[in-house]
Amino acid sequence: MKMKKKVPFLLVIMLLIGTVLAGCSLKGNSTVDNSSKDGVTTLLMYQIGDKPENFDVLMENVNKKTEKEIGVRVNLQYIGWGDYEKKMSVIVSSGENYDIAYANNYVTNAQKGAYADLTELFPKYAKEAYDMLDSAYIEGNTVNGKLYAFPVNGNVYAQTMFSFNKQYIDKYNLDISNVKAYKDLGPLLKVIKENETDVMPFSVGQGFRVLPNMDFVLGNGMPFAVDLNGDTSKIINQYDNEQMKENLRIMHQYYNEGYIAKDAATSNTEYPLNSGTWFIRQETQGPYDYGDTLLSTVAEQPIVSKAITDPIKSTAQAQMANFVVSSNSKNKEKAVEFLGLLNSDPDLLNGLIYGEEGNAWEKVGENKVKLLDGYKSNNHMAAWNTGNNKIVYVQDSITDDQIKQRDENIANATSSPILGFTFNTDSVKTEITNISNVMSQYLDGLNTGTLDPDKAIPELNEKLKAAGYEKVREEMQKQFDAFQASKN
Amino acid sequence: MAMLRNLWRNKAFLFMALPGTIWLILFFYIPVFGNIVAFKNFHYSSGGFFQSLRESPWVGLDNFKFLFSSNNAYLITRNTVLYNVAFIVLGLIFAVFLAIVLSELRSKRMIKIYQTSMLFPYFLSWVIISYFVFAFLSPDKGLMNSILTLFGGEEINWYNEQKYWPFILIILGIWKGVGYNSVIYFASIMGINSDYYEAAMVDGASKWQQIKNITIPQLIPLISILSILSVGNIFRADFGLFYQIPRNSGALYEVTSVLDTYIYNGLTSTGDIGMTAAAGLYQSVVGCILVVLANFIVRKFDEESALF
Amino acid sequence: MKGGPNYTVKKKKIEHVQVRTFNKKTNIFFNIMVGLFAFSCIFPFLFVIIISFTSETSLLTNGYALWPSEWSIQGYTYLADLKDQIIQSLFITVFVTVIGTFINVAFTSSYAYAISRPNFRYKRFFTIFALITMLFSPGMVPSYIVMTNMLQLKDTVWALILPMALSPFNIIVMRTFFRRQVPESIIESSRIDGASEMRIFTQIVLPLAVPGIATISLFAALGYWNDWFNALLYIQSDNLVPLQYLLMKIQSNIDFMTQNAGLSGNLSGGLAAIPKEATRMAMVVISTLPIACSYPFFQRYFVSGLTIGGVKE
Repeated sequence: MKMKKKVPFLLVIMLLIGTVLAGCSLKGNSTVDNSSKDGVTTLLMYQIGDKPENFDVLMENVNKKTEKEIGVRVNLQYIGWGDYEKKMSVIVSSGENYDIAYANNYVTNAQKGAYADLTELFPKYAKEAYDMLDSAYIEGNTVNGKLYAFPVNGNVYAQTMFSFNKQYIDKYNLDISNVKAYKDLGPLLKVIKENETDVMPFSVGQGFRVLPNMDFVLGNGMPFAVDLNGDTSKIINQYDNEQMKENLRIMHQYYNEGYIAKDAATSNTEYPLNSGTWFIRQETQGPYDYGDTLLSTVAEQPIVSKAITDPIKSTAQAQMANFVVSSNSKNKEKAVEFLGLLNSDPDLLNGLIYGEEGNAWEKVGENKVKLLDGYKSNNHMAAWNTGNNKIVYVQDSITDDQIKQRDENIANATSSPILGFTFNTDSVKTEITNISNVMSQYLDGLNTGTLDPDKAIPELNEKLKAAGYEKVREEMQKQFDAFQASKN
Repeated sequence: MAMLRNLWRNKAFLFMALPGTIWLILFFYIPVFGNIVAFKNFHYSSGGFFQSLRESPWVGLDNFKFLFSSNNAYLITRNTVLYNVAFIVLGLIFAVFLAIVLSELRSKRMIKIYQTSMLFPYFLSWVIISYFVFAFLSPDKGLMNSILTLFGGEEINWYNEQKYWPFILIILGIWKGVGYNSVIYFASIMGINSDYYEAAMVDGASKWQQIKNITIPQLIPLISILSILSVGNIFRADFGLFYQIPRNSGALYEVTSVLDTYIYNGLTSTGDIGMTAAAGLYQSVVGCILVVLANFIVRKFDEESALF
Repeated sequence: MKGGPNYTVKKKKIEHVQVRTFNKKTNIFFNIMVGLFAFSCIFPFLFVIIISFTSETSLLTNGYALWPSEWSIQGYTYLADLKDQIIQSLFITVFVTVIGTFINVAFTSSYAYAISRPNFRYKRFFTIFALITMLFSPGMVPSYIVMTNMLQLKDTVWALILPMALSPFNIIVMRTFFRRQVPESIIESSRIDGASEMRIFTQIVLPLAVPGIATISLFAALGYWNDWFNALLYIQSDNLVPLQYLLMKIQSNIDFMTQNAGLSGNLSGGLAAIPKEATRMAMVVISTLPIACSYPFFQRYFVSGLTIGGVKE
């Protein structure tokens, strides 16, 4: 009896000891350790997205250069798209040590003091990059008079576009030259609806927003907007605006006609860009997309787009891709130097954006590249959140004319009246939370055309009123007036 | 002196409780002080979280206001409590019923098969379950609507009609947990001494009488303890169930909105750490009071059935 | 053995069929009822399996269907590309589950036993000490600080094990089992015979409490297997990623993409990287099947009915 009980018992103990030992040897294969290696300072940098497959090679190239030029190495850690917000907010809140990070919740964190003040450091340690930056970026990222971000110079303005799946335009000989607004889509959608049963005429799902010619103080999900076609000194509720209401009525009509999926308000059906399951979709485009070139490349099929809003340099675009330096960082100057190098050295940056030179691409002329067979979607980094798009070589398919056009467009775009206006929410936190809740009840229904605006908007406004909307709007107007006065 | 002597006398038990106590201190009692952030307006200082906490200004109960001030507050609290009461009561009845029935089945192999099957819902995340619910209730291609039209009825736009959802959510909530919950009761039943049943059979008791007089009374302490514990969570809702399954459909808000979805939707634009902590604290304090009350009442009846 | 006498605990085989089952007719009735319910529980999972064998084009055009228009093993062949990561994650998950369950049961039982003893002077204190933790939640950020700054365990396998190494709920369950299934008389008599409390615990009580231990082991194991939150917070290295987190990461990436749909052009690398629907379902299958089928292993211990034969040696 005793023998029988002891043997399996002993076995279990040995197994456990074995596994514990195995576990102790389990070490993470990414050193999040921030200490210096052989005396060379290593910067810890957090980036959003997925690691490219040839990450080690790419980073080796980077580190060779940075060690030579500025005497630091970079430890780049990736955090996934979906996880970034949660993980980064914990890292920032807990005061954990890091040097550089792709900014999450930039304004709130800057207001609370989480980031290092770069107003002086930026022009001093990264002068070249600073000079290349469009002034809208500096304005748009100033919080309480100080600059806390190192923005990526890219799509400084954006336009809302209707993007059309060209194969259907050709098939039915459709004329899209006059498409300028939501109401112009009707006849086109009708053609597709009647003739193609498996194609979604207007690809609208949960999260879709009708985008008018306005800019928003707290994002397009909150009812605080400035009408760019009207009085730009007043903060309004966009759902009270007649133009917006008209657009929503049109969406509701499209919904009733079946151009929009019946379950659009709750659906997250993907209508993949590279498929034929959709006809029209809404996209945003900026100067560095070179018209539809980028979109068509990604979609692997020709796409044609028409703009429906004016090109505006808005705060949202200015804050699209910011890098920040932690206020706890012990290497603030070096961090800014590195970012400066990344954003001003074409060889360094392009080695990341396109992959390995010689393998994935080869240089053509002064500033163009030709893609080779080694170029794959997962062995390079994306341009929009890595570095200065201005020094990124363009693909040889882009003409010099397009480049000239791009620069002209950037110069001609106007700045939004609220560029650089950051609203301090401290005194109205409760009301904002309640408003946020009310909005989430109506946003999807209204914007996908599911709800009848003439019935739903009065309801929405009732609830907003009860949630304290007026109080917030007044406070916002007050701060905005002060902001406008200080600009002049 | 007397205290030292008492500690020495109980040394074996203290030693047994030691690892657990250390864990509780490290992973609960130290971090829980962070909840103070609920009473402050959090600002960052250079010394890390706890220093930032110390240096941030006090704001009293400001961070709690949003939980009470909206005119939805009553609606949301009502929803949360009612759903939880349904889950506690119905969940208990079904779990115990299932456990008893399983324990009486003749084929031991079938018991194992059934129980293994009934654990599957526990593993599926609400996200995955929401895909199926969608496959059933989708207005265009859903199964339910196909069946309805087959029988000559009309299609229903499920995600827009409020009246069905309390039932859908309660059924789903119970369905997901009942297999898992019945395991405890089942194990407990297995441990009841057979002698009781033998004696009862000898006395000529029927199956139902046996269950009523032996099985259920033996389960009472466990039932009561688990119920008191569930009461502690009466202000907490299963976020996945109430957010993913209705797909955050605005039209269903009035019946699917509970405290946790309200907090989530409200704080996505501010991300305020103080308000999040305040919300959690609110849920905990209410739960705590209720548990103490419930325990006090149960204690009067039967000390063994009480939690503490 | 030195010291006091030994007690052997004899296990009597319980003839369940005779004493504690339904008669044949009722049995059939309840079998059907429970059977239907059990089927409803695995039905979604069967559906998941079917989807994982559906071709991508069929999914695009017809959505989910009980009988897909086109079968394919694309879902699984794509997974084969991720084979290394998946095997590594499987190893991590198994390791964490096994070690974690063992630690959890050890800590929990000893704590629960202590507070179940009427002659433990401080039992009320320790009971409440553990119970309070069920009512209040420590914040995410402070717990993160304890783990990373104080214990320096960020990005290690222990960050996956320790946060769940004790569960107050299990303590309460175990305490109930100890009280109910271990007759006071046995403990009394062994104490009279001079056995120490530790000896009583390990040699007398534990063998009797096997059903309770099996129950909390099951709960602990299920909890560990399913956990992805700790991985989200603490794990940075690829080789320490558990299975469920892998799945959750993919899911949250997809949510992010659909929420930010207007940026399709920008997130180009991201779009291509999302595994197809069938692959995701295949992942659900392989991350759920092992643990779900482990239940019979635990259940066998529930049914060890015991009688005590006090035999002095």
